[in-house]
Amino acid sequence: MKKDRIERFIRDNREEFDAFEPPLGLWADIERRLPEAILPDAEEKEAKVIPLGNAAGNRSWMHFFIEKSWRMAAGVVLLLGLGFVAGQYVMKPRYTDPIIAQVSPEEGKMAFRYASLIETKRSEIKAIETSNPQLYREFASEIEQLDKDYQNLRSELPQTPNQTELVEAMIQNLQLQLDILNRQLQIINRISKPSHEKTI
Amino acid sequence: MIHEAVEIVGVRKGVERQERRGGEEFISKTRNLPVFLKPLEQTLYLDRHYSLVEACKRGDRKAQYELYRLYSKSMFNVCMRILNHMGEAEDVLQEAFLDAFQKIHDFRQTSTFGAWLKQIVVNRAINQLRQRKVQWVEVEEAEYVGEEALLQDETEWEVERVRVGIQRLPDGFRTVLSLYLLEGYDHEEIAEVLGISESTSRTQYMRAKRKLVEMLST
Repeated sequence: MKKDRIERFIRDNREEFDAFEPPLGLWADIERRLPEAILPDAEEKEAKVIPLGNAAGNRSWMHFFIEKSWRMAAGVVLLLGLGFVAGQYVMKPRYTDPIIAQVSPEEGKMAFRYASLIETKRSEIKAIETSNPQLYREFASEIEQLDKDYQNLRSELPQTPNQTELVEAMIQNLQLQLDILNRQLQIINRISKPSHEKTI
Repeated sequence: MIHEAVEIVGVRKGVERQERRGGEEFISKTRNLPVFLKPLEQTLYLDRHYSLVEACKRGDRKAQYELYRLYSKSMFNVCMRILNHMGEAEDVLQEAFLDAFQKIHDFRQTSTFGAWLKQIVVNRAINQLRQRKVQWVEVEEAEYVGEEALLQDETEWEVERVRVGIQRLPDGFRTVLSLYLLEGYDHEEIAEVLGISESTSRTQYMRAKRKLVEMLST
């Protein structure tokens, strides 16, 4: 069945149909009714120390051996663990941004993936460089400016005192770049579409 | 042929449906991207909210606010389209977010957070609407409202006029038309969420659309 005009019109302009803004105080009302927020530090419980050896003075050989073997076992486990971590670090190709990963491994990975996606999209957009150099320059300079900001933030990161906030800003910058790139690609798609589709 | 008017009873059941909707919503978001980018885009799109949702499960207030900030506008508009009443839309939005944050442990991140939240919002809004005793007219399969009956002249539409036109539709028409055209539900899903038959949903939709176009051409 052919889509009719009104359906197409609404779907093409979908975003503009969200015309209302939620009232400003609404979050405060919600927050008031939410259960008490849990602070991340509160969860960390102190590790309990369990004495392994016999506290009494008359240590037998047996006790001595048990105590020693515990320590040895713990040592072996520790070494294995360290080796594993080191091995992963050395051998695995790093799909992460090493600088951000020092602050937050999760966001390091995220940044890396955003960055590679941005790269793909930028090269995608580069395809119009010959056919429409002026538009390309415009598009490219938008992203270049954001990228410059990003590189500045990135170079500040190791020294700054509030690293988590900076990382957040960096991630937001990448998201913004992606959003803009998506929009640019949409525009390019629209331009390159055969014109008769629009006139119906 | 109109047989009887029925009150809507019962709320929706299917949970697995949310999963499907998540996919659809995602597809509509990436419709304009080159095909080869879609899978990566999808994982990223999910990624972006994954950590927020996980933080919410730990009761992190900042993450809750962030999700509110990201979704409150679109969800408020969903409420407004169904309810067409500021005060009621605000109440429903507030309850829906509270509900979502309290039930967030049940959300297993198999669909997007947005799709999951929307399900809660739509259900709550429709429950609210029900209190107005809105009636969806049950119809026999036999009745068919022809497409050709639609008079669609070539005048240019403006979003604002169309939006206001939708707002002026009677409750039943407006809900079905909004769910179908703006929230991306299909008739099967609309039937389930409203507790009506699929053919009723189709007929209501056709009538609503005809009415809307009539309003716009005068």
